[in-house]
Amino acid sequence: MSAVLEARRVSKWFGEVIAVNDCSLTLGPGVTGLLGLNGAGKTTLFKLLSGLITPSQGEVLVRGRRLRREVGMFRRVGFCPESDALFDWLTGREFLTLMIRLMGFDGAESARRCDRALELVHLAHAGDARIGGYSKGMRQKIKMAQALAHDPEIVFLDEPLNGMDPVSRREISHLVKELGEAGRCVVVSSHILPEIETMTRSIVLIHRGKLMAEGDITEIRDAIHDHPTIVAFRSPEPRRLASFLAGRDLVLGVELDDLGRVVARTDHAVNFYRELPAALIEAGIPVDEFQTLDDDLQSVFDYLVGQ
Amino acid sequence: MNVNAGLNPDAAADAPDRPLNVLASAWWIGAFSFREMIRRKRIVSVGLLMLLPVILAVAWRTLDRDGVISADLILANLSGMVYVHAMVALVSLAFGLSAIGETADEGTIIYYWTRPLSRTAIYLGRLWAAQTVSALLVAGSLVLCFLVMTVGNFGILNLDFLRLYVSACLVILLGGFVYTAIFAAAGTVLRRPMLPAILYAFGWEAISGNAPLKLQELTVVFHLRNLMHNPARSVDSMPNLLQELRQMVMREVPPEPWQSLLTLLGVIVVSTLLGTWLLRRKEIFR
Repeated sequence: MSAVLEARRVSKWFGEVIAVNDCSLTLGPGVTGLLGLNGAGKTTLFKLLSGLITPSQGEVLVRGRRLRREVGMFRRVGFCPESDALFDWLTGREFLTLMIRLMGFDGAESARRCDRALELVHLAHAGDARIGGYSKGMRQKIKMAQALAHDPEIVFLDEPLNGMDPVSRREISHLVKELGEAGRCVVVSSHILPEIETMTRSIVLIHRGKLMAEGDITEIRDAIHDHPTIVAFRSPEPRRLASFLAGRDLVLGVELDDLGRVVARTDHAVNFYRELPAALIEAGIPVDEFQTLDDDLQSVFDYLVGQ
Repeated sequence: MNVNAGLNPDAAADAPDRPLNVLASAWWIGAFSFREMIRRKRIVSVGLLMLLPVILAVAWRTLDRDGVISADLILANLSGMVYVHAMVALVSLAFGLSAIGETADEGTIIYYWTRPLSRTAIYLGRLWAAQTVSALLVAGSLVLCFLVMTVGNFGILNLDFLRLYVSACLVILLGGFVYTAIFAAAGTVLRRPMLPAILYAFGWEAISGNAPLKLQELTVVFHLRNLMHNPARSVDSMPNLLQELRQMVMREVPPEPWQSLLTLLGVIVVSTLLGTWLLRRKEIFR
């Protein structure tokens, strides 16, 4: 992966409190969710990565250069803050135009990019209204628009779906995914895990100031060998299947759920998946489908931070 | 929807990675911040406060119909006591402290922060805006005072009076620039700057006026008054007499006006450099 954004052994402390402790990570194109409980250091890491604060130790590099020292590199960065603070007396269009001008574009180009950014976040109809009159969701969208209008290589989104209605959430989630697919390096910070899951399967998990996990949710889940995996099977012969599974060494427990599925728990998911198909065929037990119930982000998160 | 439609997908990569020109971006920020500051509610309250010298001028016109107190003396006292000692500090306090501090507290500074702008440009732009708003309020008040004193009383309009008025205006406006620069730097570094700023402006600056000359020279007020032609100095008022006596006894020699001018300009430069340095080190946690 080509490093667009890199943190090298970054630490940040405030007095005697260590908010981020010796974190290293490399991000390339695509969407990455930054996760963590309140007080875990997620916000501090996010601000370190986006150049808003300086590491006490280590360095954050954008394309190999320090963002805090070389402010010109902010041309490559779009930042959508969590804070609701905006220039309420401006119209959405005036605000965007100013933000684009301050990125160094001339008047005509700013106007063109302003229109495009308003369309991108589905706010073209309200471009000439004052921001002070915007709903919470519209305010989020105008913040998104100013982060994207100059077509940045790296986009930081801090709780981007806050206050949005379901339709807007879907639109913005889709937009974020598209940005990732278009080769942008997008870092999304959110405490609502299902939201992150709609945008990406790639996460960085921080807990108690330390980087706890980084990568694809499924890969992280698979790497957790000693944590039971829960698998649900649909079979025309559920009792026979349950009895078969109960007799296997890798299976910790079996039960039938309310939906008529056989639910098995195993503490060696990789071996379980490797051996099971052949064993089922050999035993002649029909299985219509099976699915892992706990490789969603919430389960992985709960497990990792609950350790 | 295609996020790349209509945009150059390589635009970010092609963009030169250098900050925008400091003066040009400071001008942009200044012009925008000026529009922002004149929309603040405090402009009404500060504007009303700036009517105080005008009310005093009206009182003089109303009460002193026989011309016992000369217009020169009234103007000198208004500028030396009311404007320099109170009004200029007040208006600078209102807009200087908030120049950086308020936008940082509100969180809107993040929109400047995340642009290719040097902190110097951000600081200069905000400072210029605050100084312009302060200067306009003070200038408005001075113009109103002039009108109250002269309309229907054209006899006072001679060269000396005009010279006194113009020099007073220039010194008062300079005072506004100095105080705004000091308070902007204070607002950049202090989380709650109001109390220290009030103590400085109305404590230190006021009480040290009765201190030995060397101590007085450490105040902005002293240098502003040193620049100002004051006909009251030659009259035999008790405070002036005591000051003259003390200076004779202690062999104190006040600095030349040009030295005071240089000192005040130096304060503006040093405060601005300090404020810029503080802003560069500032971090945002909102």
